[in-house]
Parts: sequence; structure tokens; C-alpha cells
Amino acid sequence: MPNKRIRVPRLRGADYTYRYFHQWFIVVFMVLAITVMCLASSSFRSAYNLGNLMNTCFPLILAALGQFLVILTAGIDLSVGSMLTLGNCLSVYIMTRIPTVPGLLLALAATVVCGLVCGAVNGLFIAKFRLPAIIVTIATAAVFQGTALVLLPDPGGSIVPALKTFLKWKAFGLIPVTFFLTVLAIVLILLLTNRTPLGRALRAVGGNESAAFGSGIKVARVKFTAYVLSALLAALAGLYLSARTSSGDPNIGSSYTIYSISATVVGGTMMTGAVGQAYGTACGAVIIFLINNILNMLDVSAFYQYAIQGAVLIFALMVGSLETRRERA
Amino acid sequence: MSECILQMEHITKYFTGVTALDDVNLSCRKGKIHVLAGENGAGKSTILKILAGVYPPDKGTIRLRGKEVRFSSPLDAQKAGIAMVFQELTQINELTIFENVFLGSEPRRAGLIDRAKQMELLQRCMDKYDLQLNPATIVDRLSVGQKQLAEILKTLVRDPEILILDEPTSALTKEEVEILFRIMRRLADEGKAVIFISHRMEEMFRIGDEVTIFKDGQFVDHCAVSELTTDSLIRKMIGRTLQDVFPPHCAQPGGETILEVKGYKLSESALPVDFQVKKGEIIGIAGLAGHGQTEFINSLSGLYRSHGGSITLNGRAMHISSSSAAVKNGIALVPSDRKQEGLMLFQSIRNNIAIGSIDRRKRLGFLVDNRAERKTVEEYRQLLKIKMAAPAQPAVELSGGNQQKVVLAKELAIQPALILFDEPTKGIDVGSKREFYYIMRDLADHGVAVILYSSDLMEVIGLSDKVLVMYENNVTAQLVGAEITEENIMRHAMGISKKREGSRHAE
Amino acid sequence: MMTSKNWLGFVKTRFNQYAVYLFLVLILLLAQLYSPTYLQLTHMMGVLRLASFMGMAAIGQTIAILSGGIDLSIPYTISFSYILAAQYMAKTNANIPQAILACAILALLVGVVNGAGVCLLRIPAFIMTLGVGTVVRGAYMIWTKGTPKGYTAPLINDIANRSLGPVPYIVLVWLVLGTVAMIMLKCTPYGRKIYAVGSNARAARFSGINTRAILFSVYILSAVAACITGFFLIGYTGESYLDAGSSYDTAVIAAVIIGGTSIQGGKGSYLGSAAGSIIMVVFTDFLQIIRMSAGLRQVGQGVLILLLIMMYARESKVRL
Repeated sequence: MPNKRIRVPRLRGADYTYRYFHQWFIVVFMVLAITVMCLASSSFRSAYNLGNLMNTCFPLILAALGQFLVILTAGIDLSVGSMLTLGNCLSVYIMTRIPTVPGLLLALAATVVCGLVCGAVNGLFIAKFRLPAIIVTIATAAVFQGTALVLLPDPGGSIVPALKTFLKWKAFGLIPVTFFLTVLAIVLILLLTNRTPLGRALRAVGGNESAAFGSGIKVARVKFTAYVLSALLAALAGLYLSARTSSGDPNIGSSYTIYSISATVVGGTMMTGAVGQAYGTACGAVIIFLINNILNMLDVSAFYQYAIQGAVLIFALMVGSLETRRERA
Repeated sequence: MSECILQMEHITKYFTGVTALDDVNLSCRKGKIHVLAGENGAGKSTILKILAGVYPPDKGTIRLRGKEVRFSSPLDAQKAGIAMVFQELTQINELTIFENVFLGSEPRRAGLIDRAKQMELLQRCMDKYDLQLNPATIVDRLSVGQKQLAEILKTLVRDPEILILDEPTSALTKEEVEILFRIMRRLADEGKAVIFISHRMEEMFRIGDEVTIFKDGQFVDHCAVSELTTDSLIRKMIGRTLQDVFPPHCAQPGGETILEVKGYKLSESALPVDFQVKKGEIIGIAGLAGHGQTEFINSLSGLYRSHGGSITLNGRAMHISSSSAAVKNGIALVPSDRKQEGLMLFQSIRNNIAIGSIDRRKRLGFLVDNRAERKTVEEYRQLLKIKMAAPAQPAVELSGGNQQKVVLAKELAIQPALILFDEPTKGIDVGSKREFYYIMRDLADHGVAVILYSSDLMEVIGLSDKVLVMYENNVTAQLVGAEITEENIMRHAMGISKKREGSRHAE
Repeated sequence: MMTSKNWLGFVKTRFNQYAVYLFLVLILLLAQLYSPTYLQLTHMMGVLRLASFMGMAAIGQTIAILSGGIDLSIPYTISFSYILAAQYMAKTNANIPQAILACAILALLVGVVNGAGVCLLRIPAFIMTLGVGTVVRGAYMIWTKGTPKGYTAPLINDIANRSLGPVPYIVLVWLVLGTVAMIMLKCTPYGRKIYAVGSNARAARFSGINTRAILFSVYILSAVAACITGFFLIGYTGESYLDAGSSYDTAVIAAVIIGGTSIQGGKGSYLGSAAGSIIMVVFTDFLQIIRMSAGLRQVGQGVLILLLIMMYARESKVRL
């Protein structure tokens, strides 16, 4: 047999476009937007602001990545915002009462466990009991939000300074640690969705659940994992926010649910699942943030944010719906 | 004398009210390509599904290389080396061929998918069977034929002992068929067994080594393909006894034309169809399953877009663009899948019957006329002899035959001028079938144009005054009166060019 | 034919339909235990007054869910119509017609956009309505620039707060609207078609129903119901403020579920949702009586919904 060098197949041409067109579009759009902003506004391009951009985007990127995993399976997690709030309030609750490094570690551990447990609750009802994801996550959102309110009825509290110090560190005095964390998160999720059997299974379940089942994939387990990861990422995002704001706020997560969905859809993932990339979602998150940032800088009242973000979501959904139509034609 | 790789003996299978398989045998020898032949409903799919582990036989044994086996699930059968390629594909459209091929059992390295290894295995397989597909293609972008080849590739990589194909060539181009045959021959040369169902004569004779023929769920014959001719094969497949009692055919032919269809095209590339339905006539559509019959019926009832042609019903030309337009124009449809398309299973029988004609019974212009509705429901209950506990009973609780009657009642309540039936008696007990036949005859006698499609050839022959045979999405023959024989229909249905008299096209 | 297997199924189907009344009795008794004056007429009328608003919002949600969808824009539409009504009424009875007009236009806009997304673009109902809801929220934020102005007209105030004898006017309004809704759903061809589309949209289409038109109109009706709720709500509170409708999201969904309407669509009735609205009001009230903090109350609502879908949604695991 001739000694052929085995090369992993690469998508080309129309196949490449099918999968990556939207992703590229979003990445380029984001880069362009940032460039334009930097050129147009001196205040925008200050190092402070760019670092700020990274810091502010980070929690949204995390939350969006979690939502991305769930939407890949053709599911939905409407409890992301509340989970983030809970992660925030829980960590602050602990750190306020144990303001030392052991307290920090405990808060870390507790947040992680909380995320896992809450995600497991979602997973149990949706994957095991096969109840509709919309209603389940609306209900768990209320439960998580309520728990956060119980822990921290009013904004406040304090964190362990060590956490802040860690998160304030900058490489070369310029690049904040969140940048590296973001890259790490994107790379991990990218690896997960594109190179692991679990990732393949996530897409398969979203694409055609019965075909996935027929191929031997344990559909319930896959969905369960998606919800657990989503909650975990949201909880970590909440933890980060407690470091950033040095306090807790039971209202902090209110818009994160819809932003995470918007980021995912803008980033090229259809609600029907199976398609989409981690970096697309991350860019979508950045774009969402940029829109708010730009509006702020133009001194447009914060009220326009809601309307415009909602319109962005609807627009992205429309584009997605038309894209699928086109391909099926 | 090669050994028998597979022996299925005395296999019997019952479904509710129907004996699908009655003491049949099927055996395959190593290195032979085995064809399963028989008309629609002969039991071919059933026995192969039993072999693939989809359901167990009620009686009989399966022996693999001499050892008896029992499968409790398709995964069991797969582990034993049996791979079946179904009509429904198990591909994930958004992924590439490469990603689909090892779905669920990817080779791994350190937790990640070992893509190099996967490609190596895939390339080896593609080289072995000379099936060169571009693995980086997204399945959604493939043609139906290519998707099917990708599906076959998926089974080939698992190195099956027995490959089962259910009508694999229906969507393939000529080149793709060649590729498929080469694969089958290669498998046979390796000592594996290949079983496939086909209806295309030339294919059977070209690639098949041995053939087993079923008829009506019973074993007819097993012989080498070389011992048969086209005629002898057909003769073995047909010749079923007319078990069911059919009502008499149209008493007064040549009445007024109720429905006239001219130049009707199902798709851009289809041949235009012309036909007429005169008063008292029942038109049957025949042909092998999946050759466009359902699409034809669905397009006449507005669910599927047609590409040109005119329909004139009772003298009125009409353009049917949607199902509601069809209903308004008096066209009714009894669809093939009563559970998914015909009924609202958890609603009451009464609601189900009333919903098709709900706008016709109004009180005060906007309220539902409950009394008229109850009367209508009762009327049809009596007329169709629907057995129910009460009109409020959920439709899901009825037997198949009664469920179908409910669907029929719903359609009759719109008082149609044309009624279309798609597999009207599928999954129904014999008694209800008979009742349906007489109802259809009655409708036709009263001037309703009746068009039906059934994959049960005897039913079509028994009921129809005129038969349209469909092959490859085209109406290839119109048979009238004495021309309607099993043999004639099967010939046209299998694409055999007519050698004798007995088939006419549009007048 | 009722075999023993069917008997359990029989109970289960009946359960969904009638459980709500059982729960209503139970929760009223429970409330009475804690607060012995609960069942007194005047108090109950106050409860009914609150339930009217939830009940009117539930009309829209019930119809949306019956058709197989859901409307998550209801709380935001309520808030906006609340603001519009206050602004245009401006304490004057003569302005009521223009306030009604403003709310009607809002209802039409929201309903049409929701309907277009769900029917024409085939976007899943929950995300479409959620997106539209966000836009609506932004819209009323912008409209009021953060400080809503206006005040209810005296007539609407009276309707919302006064009573005809022992019965509050608003309860009568709810009664009328609820009756119209029930008649529409159960007694008109249109209502039957809504049930049909929710039961099996494919079969509905095969039966000649214009499913697209039905779905479109459903979202318009839902927006109308939400606007009516907001319109009368300003009468109840008097002064205009933002996010007045925020408590009407999860609670209304819970009311509809507990009332026996199936999440999958095609089954249920408004009467159940009406009873469910009363239950939700009593439930929230009860949580306050036993002095649960705001946070725990929210947890309670969430847990309630989870329990409810466990009970109600398990039954239709159809094996076709």
C-alpha cells in the first residue's frame, strides 16, 4: 500500500462558507468597529478604556459561552442572568463574613459548587424529566434570583483584597489578566466543541436528536452537561463581577440573560443548534458591549440601550432565519 | 458450496390484526449478493427490520454462522456485525461527512478526537470500496444520492458482516449506482453477505446472485438469479388471491366528466399529465412506494406546489394554492399518516370531525352551532359506523380503523366534490377495510370524484375503474378496464418497457 | 373501554382540568388558617380585585400558549400601556378616548411584530417575544425619558377602586372580558382553530385551516389583553411609574399552567387560568402573610412552577 500522508480534511469553498461565513463576518465586523471607534474617539482609544473594554466584556463573554453550549443542543437557558447574580451574591456573602484568603478560597469553591448544582437542577428537569427548557429555566431563574436576594437583600458587602489584586494585574502594565482569561475560555470552549467527542455530540443532539440517539450518543447526558457548564460559566462570571465591583448586587445579572442569547445569535449560532463557533459568540458579546459603549460615549441615554439591544437580537434572529431558508432552498 | 452466513427460519411476525410474516425463511450464503423481491406489503422490510434488531420475531430463529442469536435492540445487531441502511438517514446535516461517519464512536487520544486516526480509517475504507467522497463536505449540501452514499459509508467503516440495504438505488444517479454495486461486489468478494431490496428488474439481474421472493408475508421461492427470467420472476411475485371482497366497479361508465386535469406537472422536469374522472369512476394511483404518489395527491389538495397545468372541477376551473383554498373549493384529503397529519389525537372525536367544516355551521354569524355539529357528528357516526364510547372521547383511544373513519368523517363533512385518499386502509383491520371500500364506491356513485393511492396493489386493482401508474415521479401509464392487471401494473411500476398490448397513455 | 390502565390515564387527564379548583380551595383554606379573616367577603373582594389584573393579562398568555406558543413580551407591554394611559389621560375623563387609542396602537404594533416574527420568519415564539419585549421596554424608557408623567382619569380610578355593592367594578370588567374570552375560545370557529393549531399544527393545515393567519392573530390578541391590563392598572395605582408590569411575567405563566392549560398547546381553558390567577394572587399574598422576604417569595414562585410542570406536563408523554 502506498505510504500516503494522512491529512485531516479541511473544509473548502462552499462548505467553508456554510460553516464559517457568519463567523468571519462577525470577527471582521468587530475588528472594524473597534478600529473605527479608536480612530474616531481619543477617549475610546486610551489604554484605560481598552483595558476597561476587556474587563467589562469578560463576564458577558463567559455567560455567552455557556449559553452557546446550551443553544448548540437546540436548548435554551433563561436562568443565565440569575445564575450570574447568584454567583456574585454568594461569593460576596462569604467574603464579607470571612475576609481572609481562606475566605476567598471558600468563596471560590462555593461559587463553583453552586454553579454545578444549579446547572444540575436545570439538567435534571430538562434532560432527565424532559420538561420544556423555556419554562424550567424561567422557573429556576426565579429560584436563583430569589436565593441571591436572600443572601444579599441590598447591594453591598465586600471582597477579599487578594482577589482584586489578582484581577488588577496587567502584563507589561498594559494587558489585563482578563484578556488572558478570555483567550483561555475561548480556546477551551473551542476545543471542547470542535475536537472532543462531547462537542461532536452537542452539535449532533442539536442537529438531529433522533439521529444522534441512533448513533449511540447518550442524549440526556449530553444535554445535562450543557446546562451544568452553562451555569458554571455564569457563576464564574458572577464571581468575577464581585471582584470587579468589589461588592455584590442582587440586580447585577438582570440583562445578562438576553445579552448572552443575543451574543450567541449575533455570533452565528442558530436557535436550532448544531452550528456556531466559540469565537463567534465571543465576538458577538464584544459587539453587544460595544453598542452600549458607543451609546454611552455619544451621551445617548441609557434607555436607548434596551431598545437597541432588543432590536439587535431581533435583527440577528431575522438574519439567521433567512440564512437557513437560503440554504434549504 | 459456500456456507450459510445467515439462516432465518420459520420467522413469523404479527402486528395488531395483521400477520406480516408467516413462517418465512431467508438464508444467505457467504460471498453472495442476495435480493429480496416481492410486491409492496410482501414483508420484505419487516424481515430485514427483524434481522437488524428493530423488533423481535414472534416465532422462529436467527442463526449467524451457525450460532443462534437474539437481538434486543438495533445496537445489539450492530455489535453482531449486522448493518442496515434505512430509508431515513441518520446524518446530522450541519456536520461534514467526516464528522458524521464516526459519530458516537470516535477514535480518541487524550480525551480529544483523534482526527488523524479517524481520517486514516476513513481513507482506508474509501480506498477499499472505491467510494471516494470528499469528507470535508457538509452533509446539508449533498444531493439525496450523495447523502445516501455517505450513510452507506457510515456503515462500511464499522466493518459489518452483513450489509442490508432497503431500496438503496432509488435516489442515486447512474454513476452512484455503479459505485454502490462495486461496493456490494467487493463486500461479497470478502466473504460478507449483502442483502438488498430492489424493485428494478435490471438491477436485480445485474448485481444479484440469489433471490428470495415473498408474497403476502409468505415465502415463495429462493433460487439463483441465473435460473430466472423477468417474466418468471414477476409471475412468482404476483398472483395473489383477491381475498378482500370489493364492491362492483363503475356501473355506468362514460358519464359526465367531474374532474378534468390537463397538463399537470409535479415539478419542472416532470412530464405533463392529463386525465379525467367521470361520474362513478374511482381513479387509483399505483406504483412502487416512494415514486411521487403522495406528492401528487398532496399537490392536488394544495399542500404541495405544482408546476403548471389546470384543474377543472364540476366545470369550474380552479387554482389551488393552499389547503384552505382546496377545502373552500370542495377538495378533501384523507392523508397517509392519520396520527401526524389527520387527527388531533388528544382532542375529542367530535372536535376532530367538526374541525374541517367548522366555518359552515354558525349560529348568529360567529358562534359554533353546537346542535348542528352534534347532528353532523352523529350523522357520520352512523353512516361510517364509527365505534366510539362517546363523541367526547379522545381520538387517541380509538382503534386504527375507527380513527381513519374519523378522519374520513371530517373530510366528508366539507361535502367535497373531489376526495383524495392517501393509503386509506393502512394499518386497518379487514372488516373496516371492507367498509371503506363500499364507502368509496358509494361516494363515486353519488358523483364525487374519488382518487386514491395505495401501496397495496390488490386494493388498487379491486377498487379502481382507471389506474394511473407512477414511476419516478411521473405518470407513465393510464390503464382502463381489462388492462388493469397485476402484471401490467407491475411492469409499468418497475419501468419495464411494454412489449405487449395493454397500456395506453393520455388520449 | 376502560381497562385498569386507562383508568389511571383517565384520572390524569381529568387531573389537569380540575386540579386547579382543588388547589384553589386548598390554598384558600391554608390562608384562612394563617389569617382567620381571610375568607371574609370584603377581604376576598380585595383579592379578586388584584386577581382581575392578573386574570386579564392571563387572557393573552392563555391564548398564546393554547396555540402552541408563548408570549414573553406581556409584562413589558403592560408597562408601556400603563405609561401611555397615564400620560394621555392626564387626570381628565375627557381624555379617555385618546388614551384608549394610544394603547390600541401599541397593541397593534407589538402584536404585528410578534406575529410577523413567529409566523413569517418562523422564529421560535419565546425568543421573538422576549426580544420584542426588550425593545418595548427600551421604547417606554425612551418615551418617558426615565420619568413617566401622567395620572389616571377619575373614571378609570373609580372602576379600578370602587365597587358596585360588594363587587368591585374591575372584577365585573374582568368577568366580562373573561367571558368574552371563554366564549371566543370554546364557542367560535376561530377558537376551535386556535386549539387545532396548538394540538397539531400539521393536521390543522391538512384540514384546511389557515395556520399562519391564526398564529398571527393570536399574538395580536395577546398584546391587546396586555394593553387592557395596563390601562386599568393605572386606574388602580393612580400614579405612573416604570416597569409597572414586571410582576406579571412568571406569575401569569404559573397561573396558566396551574389552570390546566398544557404547555404544548391545544389543551386547556381560560376558566382554569382565571382560577389560576386567583390562586397566584392568594399565593403571593400568603407568602407575604407568613412574612417571607422578597427573595424567598421569588424562590417560592420558581419552586411552584417547577412543581407544577412536574405534575402537569408529565402526563402527555405521547407514545405514538
